[in-house]
Amino acid sequence: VITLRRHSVVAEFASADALLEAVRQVRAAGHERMETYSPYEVPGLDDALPRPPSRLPKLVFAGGALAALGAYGVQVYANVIRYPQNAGGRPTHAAAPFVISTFEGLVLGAALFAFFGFLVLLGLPRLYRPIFNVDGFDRASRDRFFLAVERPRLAPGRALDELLESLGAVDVRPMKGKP
Amino acid sequence: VSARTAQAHVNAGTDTVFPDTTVTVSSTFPRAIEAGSASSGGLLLRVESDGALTDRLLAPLRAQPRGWRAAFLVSLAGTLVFVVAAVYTMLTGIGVWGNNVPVAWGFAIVNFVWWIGIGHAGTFLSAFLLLMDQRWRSSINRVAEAMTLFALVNAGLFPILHLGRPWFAYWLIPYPSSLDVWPQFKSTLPWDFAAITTYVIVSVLFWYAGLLPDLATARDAHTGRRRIVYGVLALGWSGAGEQWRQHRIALLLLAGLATPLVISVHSIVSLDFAIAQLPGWHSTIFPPYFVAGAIYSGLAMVLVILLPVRRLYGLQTVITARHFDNIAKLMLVLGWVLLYCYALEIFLAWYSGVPFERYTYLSARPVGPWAVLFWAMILLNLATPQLFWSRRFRSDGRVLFGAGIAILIGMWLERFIIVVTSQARDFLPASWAGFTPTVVDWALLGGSIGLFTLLFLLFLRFVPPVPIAELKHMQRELLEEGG
Repeated sequence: VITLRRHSVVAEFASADALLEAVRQVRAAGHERMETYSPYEVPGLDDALPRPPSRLPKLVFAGGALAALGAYGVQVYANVIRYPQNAGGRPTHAAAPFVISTFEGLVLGAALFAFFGFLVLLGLPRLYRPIFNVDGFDRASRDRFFLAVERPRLAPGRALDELLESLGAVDVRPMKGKP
Repeated sequence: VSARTAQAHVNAGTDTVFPDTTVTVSSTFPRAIEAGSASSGGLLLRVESDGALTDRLLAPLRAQPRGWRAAFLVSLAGTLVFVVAAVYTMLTGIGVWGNNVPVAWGFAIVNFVWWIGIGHAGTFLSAFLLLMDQRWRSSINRVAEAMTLFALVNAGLFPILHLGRPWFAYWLIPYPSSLDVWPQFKSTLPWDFAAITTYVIVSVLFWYAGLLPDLATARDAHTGRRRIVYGVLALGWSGAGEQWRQHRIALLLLAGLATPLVISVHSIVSLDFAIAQLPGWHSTIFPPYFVAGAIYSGLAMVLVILLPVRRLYGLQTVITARHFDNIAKLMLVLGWVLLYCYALEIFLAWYSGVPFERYTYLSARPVGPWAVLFWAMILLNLATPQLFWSRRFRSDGRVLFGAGIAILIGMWLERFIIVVTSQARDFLPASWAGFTPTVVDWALLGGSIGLFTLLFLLFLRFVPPVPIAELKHMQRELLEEGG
C-alpha cells in the first residue's frame, strides 16, 4: 500500500484518459510516490502505475487450508474422541461423511480471510484520510479523477504543480491535514 | 407483491401488469421490451456522463416510486402473519402443522428447499458470471444477490422452526458444552447447518464487498445523518487505485469460492433425501438434479423481481432486453436439464427392478392421491420454458413474468411431490398415511413471501439496486471498444 506523506499535491482531472496520461507523464518526470482516486477501476492503470503483486491470494489459501484442517479436526475430536457413537457398526472415524463439513469449513475460512484480508491489506476501516480534506473530493466517487503526488523532499518548488497543470488538471492544490 | 401494488395504479390504456409510473422512462415495455430487442441489443441503451449515471442510479435512495409504501404495508402484513404463525408454532409445538408419521417433513422442508433453491440463482448470476467474465451480470448482480440473501433468511427459518424446540438450535454448533454431547457429523442435519451457515456468511461478505464503492458514492452524495451512516458503512473507501485493485482480486477470489459453494449447498440439501432409504429419495442423481432445479427456480424469481423493479425504478436503459433474453435462454437450458433428470429418475426406477421404486415412480406419483399436483408440476416446469424458443416471447415482459410465476409454483410442487409422496407411500402399506396442510402451514408459506418482499423493499429503499461503479466501468470499456 502506498502511504503518502504529508506534503503531497493533488490534481483533479475530468476524465480517466487525462488521469492515465498524467500518471505516465508524472512518472516519466521521475516521481514514483503517487496514488490515484477514481469513481471506478480505470482500465489500464495497472500498466501505467505498476504495483507489487497482491498478498491476498496467499492469505486466502492459508485461511482455506487452516479452516479445512480445523473443520476435519473438530469432527474427529467430537465423533471419535469425545462422543463416539456406534450406529450399526459403522466406523466412528468416517472420512467420507466428514468431507462434507470439511469442505464447508474450507470455503468459510477462505472467504473470511478473503474479506477481512482485503480490509486489513487496505487498512480499512479507516474513516479519516487526509485526501478527504481536498475540496471537491466528493466527486472522486462520482465523475472526477484525482492524482495525489508526493512532493520530492529536495525540490520543494512549484515544478510539480506546473507539470500537473500542464497535463490538463482542472485544479491543483496541496493536501491538507494530518496524514 | 410489487405486481399486486402496481395493480392499484392501473392507468387506463396501459398494461395492467406493469402500469406507467412517474419514474418510467420508456412506455413501450413490456409488449416488446424495446425496439430492436433481443440478442442483438446492447447492455446499455444510452451513453451517459458518469455524473448523470450516478445521479440516476442513486435516485432510488431519495425517492421511492408510487406504490412502494403500499407494497411495504402489504409485505409488513404478510410478515406479521409469518411472525404470528411462527410464535404460535413455537408456543404450541409442531403438532399445529399438517405433519404426521410417516409424513414427518411436510411443508417446513418443502419451503426450506424451495427458498434455498431460489437463493442459488443470485450466486449463480453474480459469482459464476464474474468468473466467466460475462459483462451482463454488471447491472443485475446486486438485485440477484439481495434476492439470495433474503431467500436464505426464509430458508434458514424453516428448519429451525421444524426442530420443534428452536431455542436449542445452537446445539448444532460443535462447541464444548457442559452436556458433553456433540453433533453427529455422519448425520445430514449438521451438514445442512454447515452448508447454510457458510452460504449465508459468504453471500453477505460477497454482497457487502461489492457494495463498498457504491456506499462511498452514496456517502459523498448525501449530507447530514445519511452521510454519516453511509460513511461508516463505506469503511473509509476513497477510490484509491490500490483499493480498486485489491477489491477486484477480493471479488474474484470470493466468486471463485462462492461458485463451488453454491453447488455444494444444494447437493447437501439433496443428500438429506438421497442418504435416506425411502423409494423416490435414495438416488445418486439427486445432487445435480437439485442444483439444476435450484438455479432454475431462482432465475424464475429473478424474472419476477427484475421486471417490476426495472419498470418502477426506470432502469430500462441499464437492465435491457439483452439481460432478459440471456436469462430466458438459461432457463430454457435448465428446463431441459430438469426434463432429463425427471426422465432418468423414472427410467432408473423402472430399470432397477426394485418394486418399491417402481411403485413410487410409476404409480404413487403419476396416479396416486397427489397425481394432479404431479402433472401440474410436469406441465409448469417442463412446458413453460419451451416458450423461450421464441425470441418474441423472450422479449415480452408479460410472458416472462407469467413464466416466472408458473415455474416458481411448479418448483414448489416438485419439492412437495418429492417430500410428501415418498413419505406417505413408503415400503409398508400398513404405514401409509395422508397429508393435509393446516392453516398454520399456509400462513408460514404465505407469510414467508411477505417477509421476503419486505426485506427486498427495504433493500430498494436504502441500497443502490444497480451497481454504480461497475456500470461506469462497463460503460468505459464499451466505449473503448467502440460498442
